[in-house]
Amino acid sequence: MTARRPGPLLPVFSLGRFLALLGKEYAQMRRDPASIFVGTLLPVILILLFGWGLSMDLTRVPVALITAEESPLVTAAAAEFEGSRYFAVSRVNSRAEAEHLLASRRVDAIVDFPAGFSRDAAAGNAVLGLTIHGVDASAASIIRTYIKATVGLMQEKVTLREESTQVVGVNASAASTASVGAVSLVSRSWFNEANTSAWYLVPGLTVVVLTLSASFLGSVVIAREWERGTMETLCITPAAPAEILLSKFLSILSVAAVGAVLSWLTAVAVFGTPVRGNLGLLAATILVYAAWAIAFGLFLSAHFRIQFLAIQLAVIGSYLPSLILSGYLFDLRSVPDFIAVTGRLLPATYAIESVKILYLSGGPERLVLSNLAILGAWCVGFLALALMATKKRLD
Amino acid sequence: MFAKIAALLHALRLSLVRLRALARKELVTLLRDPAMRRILVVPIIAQSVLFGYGATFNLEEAPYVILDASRSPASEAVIRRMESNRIFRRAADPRSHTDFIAALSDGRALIGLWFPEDFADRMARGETAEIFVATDARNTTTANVATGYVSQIIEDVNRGNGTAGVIEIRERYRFNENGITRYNIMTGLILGLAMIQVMLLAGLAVSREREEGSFDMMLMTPLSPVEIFIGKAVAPIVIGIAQSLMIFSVCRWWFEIPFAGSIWLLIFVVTLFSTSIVGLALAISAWARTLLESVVISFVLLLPSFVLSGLMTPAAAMPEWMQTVTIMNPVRYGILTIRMIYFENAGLADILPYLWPLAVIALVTIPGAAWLFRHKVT
Repeated sequence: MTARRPGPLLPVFSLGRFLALLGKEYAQMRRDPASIFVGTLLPVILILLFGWGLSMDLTRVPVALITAEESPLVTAAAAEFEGSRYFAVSRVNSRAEAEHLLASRRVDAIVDFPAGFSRDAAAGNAVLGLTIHGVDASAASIIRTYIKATVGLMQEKVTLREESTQVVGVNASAASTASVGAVSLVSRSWFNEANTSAWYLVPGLTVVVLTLSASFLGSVVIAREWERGTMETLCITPAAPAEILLSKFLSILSVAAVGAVLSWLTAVAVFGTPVRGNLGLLAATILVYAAWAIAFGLFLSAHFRIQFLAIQLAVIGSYLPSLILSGYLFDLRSVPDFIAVTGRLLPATYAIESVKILYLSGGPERLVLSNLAILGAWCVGFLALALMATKKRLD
Repeated sequence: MFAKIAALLHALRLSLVRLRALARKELVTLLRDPAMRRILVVPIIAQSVLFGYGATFNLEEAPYVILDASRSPASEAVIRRMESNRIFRRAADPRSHTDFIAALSDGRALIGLWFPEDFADRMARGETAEIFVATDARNTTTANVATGYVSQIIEDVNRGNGTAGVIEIRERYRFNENGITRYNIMTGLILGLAMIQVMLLAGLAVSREREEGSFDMMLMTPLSPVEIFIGKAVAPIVIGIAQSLMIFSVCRWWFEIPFAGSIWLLIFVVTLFSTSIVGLALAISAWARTLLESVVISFVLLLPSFVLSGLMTPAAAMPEWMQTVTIMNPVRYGILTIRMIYFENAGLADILPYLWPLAVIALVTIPGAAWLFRHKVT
C-alpha cells in the first residue's frame, strides 16, 4: 500500500462553494452555447425530424400490374388498384417487363392477373400471383396487407354485381354453397385508435432524444476539465468532489429539463399526441430518467477522463440501445428471451414503457410507479458511481 | 526537362514519406490506448449481435389472450391453429371482460381474441361469424403484424371449411423468401453502426489537437495542409472499413444472411462511404472552434441521416418533401446500394446511379476541409 496523506476527516459539503461552482458551470455554458443548444433545441429538432421521417405509413407504393387478358373482372380489378391512394400503378403486358421494373427498383411489387383469370374466378378457384421485393420485410408485409385488402374489396364488389346481373357467377360465391359460415375478423387497435405511426413513435422519441442530449452533456464536462488541465486547478482548491459533481449535475439537469418541456410541447402541439395519463407522473418519470442519463454520462466522463472515449461510450451505451433494445421500435414481447432480459437491464426500457403508457393509455399507474422506483434506483446508483470516480488526484 | 521531372518525383517521394509518417503517427495515437482499441472492436461486435436479435418485427412467441364466450368446437379449432406454431404464446386466461382489458393495458398481452357467445351458432347457420380482435397499439407496427398473422390463420381456417373467397393470392417475397425483418436492419447497420464511431473519430482528431495546441505545432512541420488532411483522414477511413467488414461478418456468418453479391464491390462502396463520412467530419472539425461544437454539428447532421435513411423504417414512407431533402443523405443511398449488392447481386452499373451523392460529398468536403485547414490558422 502506498502511504497517502490523509485528507480532511470529514468531507464537508459547503453550500457557498457549491453555489460558486454552479455559477462557474453556467458561465461556461453561456460562453460555449453549444451545450445549451444540445440540451434544449437539439431534442426538439430531432423530434421534428424523426417524428416526420420515421414512419410506417406507406402510400403510393409503386406496383406493376400484369394484365394478360381484357375482361370486365380484370378491368375492374385494375381500376380498383389505380383508384387507391396506396398504389402508384404501372400497367405492363408481360412478366419480363414487370421483372425488369422490379429489378431496377422502379416497382416494389408485381400483381399478376394470369390468362384465364375471369374464367377461373367464375369456377371459384382463381389464383392471383403476387411478388414483393422482400429485402425490407416489414415494408413488404405492409404492401401485402394493402394488396390483400384491395383484392378483398374487389371481390366484394364483384360478388355484389354477380348477384344482380349474373355476369360472371357460375359457382356464385363459395360461401353460399358451403354448409358453414365464414369467419371474419373485426379488429381494433387499442390506445392508438387511428393506427398512426406518429402516436406510436413520438412519445418514445421524447425519451430517446433526451437520452442522447443528457448523457452526451454529462459525458463531456469532467473529461473536458481533465483534457484542458483545469481539473488540476480544481484539485488545489478546497472544493470537494461532491460539490464539483453536483454543480455539474444540476446545471445540466436544469438545461435538460427545459429540453424535456420543449419536447413534450412539440409532441402535443405538432404531432397531436394525447397525454392520457397523469402529467405529474410524466414529468417525474422524465426528470428521473434525465437524471440517470446525466449521471451515466458523468460517470463515464470521470472514469475515462478522455472526451472521445466518454462521448463514444455515452452514445454506444445509452443512445443506441435506447433506440433499438428498449422496446421503443421493436416490441420486447416478441424478441428472443435473452434480448428481452437485456432490454430489461436498460433504464431506457422502463422510461419508454412508462412514457408510452402515460401518453397513450393512461394506465395502469401501478406499473408507472414501479418503473419510477426502478429508475430512481438506477439514478442514485450511477450518481454514487460518478462520485466515486470523481477523484481529486493526479495519477 | 528531365531535371524538372526528377525534382517533381523527388518532391513526391518526400511527400509520401511525410504522409506515411503522419498516418502512422495518427494510427499510433488512436490505437495506443488499450481502452481505445477495445472501444473500436468490442462494442461493434456486441452491438451487431444484440441488435440483430433485438431489431426484429417478426413475432416470436408473442403473448396473446383469448376470451372464449362461445366455448364451442368451432372456436377451439381456431385456438388450436393459433397455438400450433411458435408465433403466439398464451399469456393469461382472462375469465371476464375486465380481465381481458387489463391483460392488454398492462402489456401482458400484445393481442387479444374475443369469441362472442353466438360465434358457433352463427357459423352453423351459415352466417358470417365474427371474432373481435384487440391489439395493444402502443406499439403500432407490432400490433399490425400480429393482426396480419391472425388474419392469415383465419384465412386458413376458412379455406379449410371451403368458405374462403374465390380469389386465392399466391404470394412470394423476392430476395427474402421468409420475410425476415432482420435481413433489412442488419445489412443497414453495416454502414450505420460503423458511421457513428468513424464520424466521432475523425471529428475529434482535429478538434482535440487544436484544443491541446499540438495542431499549431503540426503546421510548423514541413507538412503541407493537404498532407495533414490526408494523414488525418487515412486512419479513420481504414478503421471505418474494418468496422463495416466486422459487421458484415456478423451478418454473413453469425446470422447466416445469404450473401448474393460481390465482396469487392461491397468493399468499394464501404470505402467510398467511409471516405465521404470522414471528409465531412474533418470539414466540420476544421470549421468548428471547439471540440464540443464539432461533435454537436456532427450530431445534428449525422444522427438524423442515420435514422432517416431507411435503416429501420422504409424511406418511401417519409413525407414527399423529406424524401427530396434527404437526397443528399449519404447514409440513405449507401445503405440502399449495400442492400442491392448484398441481396440482389447488383453490379457496378446498377449501383452507379445511386453513388453520386456519396461521390459529391467526398469531392466537396475533402478539398473543403483541406482549404479550411490552411485558412483557419491565419
